[in-house]
Amino acid sequence: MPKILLKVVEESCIGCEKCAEVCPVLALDFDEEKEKAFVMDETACICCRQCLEVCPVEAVILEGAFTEKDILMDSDMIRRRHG
Amino acid sequence: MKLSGPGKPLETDVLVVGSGMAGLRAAIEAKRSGLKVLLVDKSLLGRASSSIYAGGLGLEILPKYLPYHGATEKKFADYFNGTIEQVFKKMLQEGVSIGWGYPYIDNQRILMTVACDYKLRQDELRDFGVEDPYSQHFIGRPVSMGAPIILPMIDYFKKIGGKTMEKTVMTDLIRQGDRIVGAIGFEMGRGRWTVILAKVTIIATGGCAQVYKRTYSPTRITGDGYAMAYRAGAELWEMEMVGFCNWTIAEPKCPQWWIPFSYGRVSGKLRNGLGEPFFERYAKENGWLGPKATLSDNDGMDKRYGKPLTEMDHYFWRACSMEIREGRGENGAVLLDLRNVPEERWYYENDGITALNEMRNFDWKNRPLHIAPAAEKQAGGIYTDEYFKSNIEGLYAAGEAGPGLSMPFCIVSGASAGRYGAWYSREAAPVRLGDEDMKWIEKRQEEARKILSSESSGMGDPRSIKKDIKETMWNYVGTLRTEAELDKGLQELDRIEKERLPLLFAKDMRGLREAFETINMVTVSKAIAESAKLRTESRGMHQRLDYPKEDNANWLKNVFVKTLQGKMQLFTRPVNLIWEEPE
Repeated sequence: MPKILLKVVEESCIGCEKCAEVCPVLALDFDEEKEKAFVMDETACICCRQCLEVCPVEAVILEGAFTEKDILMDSDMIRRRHG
Repeated sequence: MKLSGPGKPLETDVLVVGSGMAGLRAAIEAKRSGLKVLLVDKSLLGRASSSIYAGGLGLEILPKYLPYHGATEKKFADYFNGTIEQVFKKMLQEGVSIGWGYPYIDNQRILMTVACDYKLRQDELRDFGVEDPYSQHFIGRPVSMGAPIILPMIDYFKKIGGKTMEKTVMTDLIRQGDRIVGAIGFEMGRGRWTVILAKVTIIATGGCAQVYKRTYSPTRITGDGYAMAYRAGAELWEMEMVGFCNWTIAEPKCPQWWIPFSYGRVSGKLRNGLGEPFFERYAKENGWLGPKATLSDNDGMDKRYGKPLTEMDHYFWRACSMEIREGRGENGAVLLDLRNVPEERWYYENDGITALNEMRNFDWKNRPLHIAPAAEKQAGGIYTDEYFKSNIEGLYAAGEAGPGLSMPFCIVSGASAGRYGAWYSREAAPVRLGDEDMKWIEKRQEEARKILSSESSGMGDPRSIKKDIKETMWNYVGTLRTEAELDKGLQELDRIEKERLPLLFAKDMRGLREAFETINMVTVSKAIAESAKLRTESRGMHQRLDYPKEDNANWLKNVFVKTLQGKMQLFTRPVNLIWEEPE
């Protein structure tokens, strides 16, 4: 399983705080002084991907987990089992 | 940082605090009945907890039908064949009650409501734009399983005219005589103290597992609703019934999160620090094995030990906790050996992929993985009757914040609280604040301002205090309890309350929210510790080393917590065994 990369592209971040709000594990947090989100603890990330969903400017990068192949392979198995 | 306001109070018929599964369902129900409804959340709508957990609605009720046995919708439906009474009995006996494993002290009227309504409420989700309420797993959504249920419900609520406020932290309920008439708090976005008047308030703020150091509940799950209700004079019940889950990773570079129910996980082997298969020993000693247990490492744990895994939930964490406690753990954990798990078992359902992702920084193919119990959920909560009404007029509770637990409970209690709350709202007198109320509101705002103007200090840093609370609860009010340790826990909580809370500071609105969460966590932790101390027996989720047996002669009772004259008081009431009782 490849390691993940969790990153906030500082130049793109508009400081809306949404990614830090939705992160269930404080992998992402918010710096009130800089008014930017930042990665507090990459190892805590559970890849729920809510941060990706809420960021209005695609400033959050999350790569590596749940590759297309994993999801397709898995979806295929679910479909076969559930008919 | 300034805290302005309050402006003119906002007015609504029904105020719902918390926008997860239960809160949304309650808000939709009240709105559909034609009332003004305001749904507030201290964070973003629908993203705190249910969006992670709300998937697999079917799984909650069906311990036998685990995904890797090829469950289908038809099999889910089979569970509800038979009369309501038969379903009710199945739920009670299988321990899949609203409390998930505290046999026979459930409120049977509430359990019956869940048994009667659950299927209807699950089907009904389609009306709110949820495509497939029976889906165990939303394809392509390995972790945030609940989002495909929650997000359409948010849209639906708004579409039918429901009003919402995000990042609005309610700090207190407004109590007038014997009535709750709304809530106060602050809007983070505006930096403004806010008053919301409502004939009915429904608390749906979720659980409080974040009071424990080892937990996999989301960050914001700090028991705010329990604390607010308690402060307003509501009764809390069964706070000692904290649900732990054994299968939580305890490796430094991996998420402290549960390894989900997955074929891969249940194929692993449990070992202690000495490499012994300790669980078999506990299982044999305690009679936990089913008659068809194979005891073969090649089988999944359900076949290996002969019982559905949900029935064995608390057996696992009891055994693992004991091993760790008696010094046979390793680094405060036990070991899950996954080295020989066949590759395809991880790809059986997407929970396996989730597990693989969480273990990404650990070489589990070559080394056993450290796991240890962690707090997951709170089976107790704000006490309500079967109409989800608390002991105070105008206050209702739904979901984990209410007197139960589980996704089915969320949608049943949400719908019911919304409906009964709406009915009450139509009859209730209009809300008018008096001078006393205004003085109290001002006083609370001053307390919030004080936090914003206090000096920074290590002692007063909310995150540091939270850490202190979490360590205390984990060490003294954890999985295996004794009176001496519970007393020590209460002492530490007292210290935190007296020496650290007065020093709380915040530099901004996020900090202010954390400060209030911290205050709430102390109150909730005390309620848990005191309740655990009072119940001198072991039952399901609550395990006392000094009282290891279930005691139906003395303890077919529920434990209540209430504030009386400024002090936390505890009392019991006998369980009403309307339809079923233990043999």
